[in-house]
Amino acid sequence: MAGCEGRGVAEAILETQGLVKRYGRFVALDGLDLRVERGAIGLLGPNGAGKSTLIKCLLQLQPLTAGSARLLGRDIGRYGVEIRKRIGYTPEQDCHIPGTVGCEHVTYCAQLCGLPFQAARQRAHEMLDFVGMGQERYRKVDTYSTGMRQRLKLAQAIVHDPELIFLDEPTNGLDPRGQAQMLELVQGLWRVHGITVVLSSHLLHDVDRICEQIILLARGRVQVHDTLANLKARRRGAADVVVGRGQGELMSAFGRRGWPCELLPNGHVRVEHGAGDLGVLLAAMRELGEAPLEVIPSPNVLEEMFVRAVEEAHGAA
Amino acid sequence: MGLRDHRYRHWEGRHEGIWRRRWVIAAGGLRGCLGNRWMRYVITLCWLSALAQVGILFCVGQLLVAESIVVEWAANLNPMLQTFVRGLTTWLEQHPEISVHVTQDLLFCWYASLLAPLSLLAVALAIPHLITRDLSSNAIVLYASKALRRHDYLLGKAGVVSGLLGLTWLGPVVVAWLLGNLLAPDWGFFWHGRGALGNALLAVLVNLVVLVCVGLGVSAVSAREKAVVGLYVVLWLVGNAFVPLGNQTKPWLRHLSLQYNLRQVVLGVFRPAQDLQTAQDNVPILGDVLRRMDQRGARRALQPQMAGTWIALASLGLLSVTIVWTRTKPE
Repeated sequence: MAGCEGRGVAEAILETQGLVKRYGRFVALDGLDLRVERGAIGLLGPNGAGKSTLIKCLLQLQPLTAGSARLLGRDIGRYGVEIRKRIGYTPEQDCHIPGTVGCEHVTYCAQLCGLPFQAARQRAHEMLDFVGMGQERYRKVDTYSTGMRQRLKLAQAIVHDPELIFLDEPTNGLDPRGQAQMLELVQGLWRVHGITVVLSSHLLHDVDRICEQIILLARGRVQVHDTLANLKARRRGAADVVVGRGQGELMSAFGRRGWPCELLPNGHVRVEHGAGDLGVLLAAMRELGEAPLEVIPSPNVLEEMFVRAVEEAHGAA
Repeated sequence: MGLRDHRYRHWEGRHEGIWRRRWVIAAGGLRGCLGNRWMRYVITLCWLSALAQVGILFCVGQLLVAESIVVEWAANLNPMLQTFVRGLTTWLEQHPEISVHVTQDLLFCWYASLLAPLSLLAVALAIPHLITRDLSSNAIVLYASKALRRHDYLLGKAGVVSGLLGLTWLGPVVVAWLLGNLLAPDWGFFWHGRGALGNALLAVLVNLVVLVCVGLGVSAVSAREKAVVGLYVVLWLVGNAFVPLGNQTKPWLRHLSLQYNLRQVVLGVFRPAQDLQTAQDNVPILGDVLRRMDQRGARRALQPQMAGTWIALASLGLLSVTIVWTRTKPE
């Protein structure tokens, strides 16, 4: 595993037991049981799934209704302040210390984490360099663009060298280039510098690109918690077959071979052939005399699960 | 572009303690307040008044010494003044501990009533910098996600108000007392004036607690600066309008004024009516003047109405604490 210089990887960095959060009658988190090890962790889920609420509960920005949680091996209820010294957080919404310029803002945040002024100032400049802020650091934060504010949030979250960082929708409001740059930075935090990253997003691409572990939430429950590699392996025996016409005949032929299949809304035929590669499927299609336009191996399991979670959420609503 | 320039280094230093982090919040807020030009004018005015107070203390100190130039000058100016001064001098010689204490007590009581409105003005200017701007910029979330509890944040913000009142009230009082007694004709003035300093510090302390609560409470009411400043001004100035109304109708109405209540605290601490009575009993020439004053009922205004004041201030404090505690939740 990458990014483990000097920091233990085997221990659980995040554990929850029966974590419940209610807002009145609305259940935002419904008995969450999690055990997460160090790495780049993607917290996926549709809007309202409970991703941000989970982060806020872990950081004690919101009180828990029931259950318990441990971060970095310590109980959040007893050691909240000590834990937060070792944690960084970039909130989803825009937030800054009013009336400050960029480097003052980051220096101040470092001091709030307990760094002495000299060290805070030095690290503030280093982190602003790291996130790619140039002369803008001497401008008032109130005048920053969305992209600059996202970078500033990242800088203030890592200025005290945390072991774990929670990023809540860090690419919101960024253009594609800005998104790519932000993801590159976040990826480097774990892979190069060993900082465990929990990336909360509803954007599959972001999570797929940089995360090794996936936690999929829907309606306040964990739907899936596994490594991305394992999730992709689950789909090795499946493929999407694209044909111009005759989907019905193709499905009947697959059915006769005992391969479960379904017609997707985009006209593709998804077939579970069960083999480790596409050889069996292609041979069968040759026998059938069908020439597919395209065969997509191991269709995106993440997307599929996400769609299912969204449907469940909508169904519940 | 430094995006590929991954010069991230781990930090191995020692974290500073919680009081240091609270101080960082206080110092940051104070810096923000002092960035306001009007705030600097108010503080300058307070320190100029301290110099004036030093001058007054010097003159009063000289009046208590028979051979001083001020006494000679007063004697040349008016024979009646000369008699008055002689009375004071005799009083000093016979009861130095009482005379210095009473005169300084009265002077610092008067000085407190001068500094109180200036401090109220300073708090008005500081209010947007306390919690209001943090609410509007969502900074509360940032504070809460750091190694701080909510009460650490609030203590830091209370430090902002305390720092300001230190500059507008406590500092001028202490400096005026020190310099005033340094210029006095006798080192014994320091010793005999200690009661006046103690009273002044106690009055500042009580007012400080009240103004911290009120300042933070009003600041937390809204995320809009104009709204909170407007509310504070209404609380201050409109409250003052109830004082004459209360004098004519129901006396409890006076306690709707913040400034009136703060004044009552000052009167309750210094007890100027008691000091005047002491002076009346000890200095015959003063006695006539003070007795006439007493007959006109002027001294009644110096009697503090403490029961109503404590109820009003406690209610205001409780309301403020409730507002602050509920409004500074991170989400």
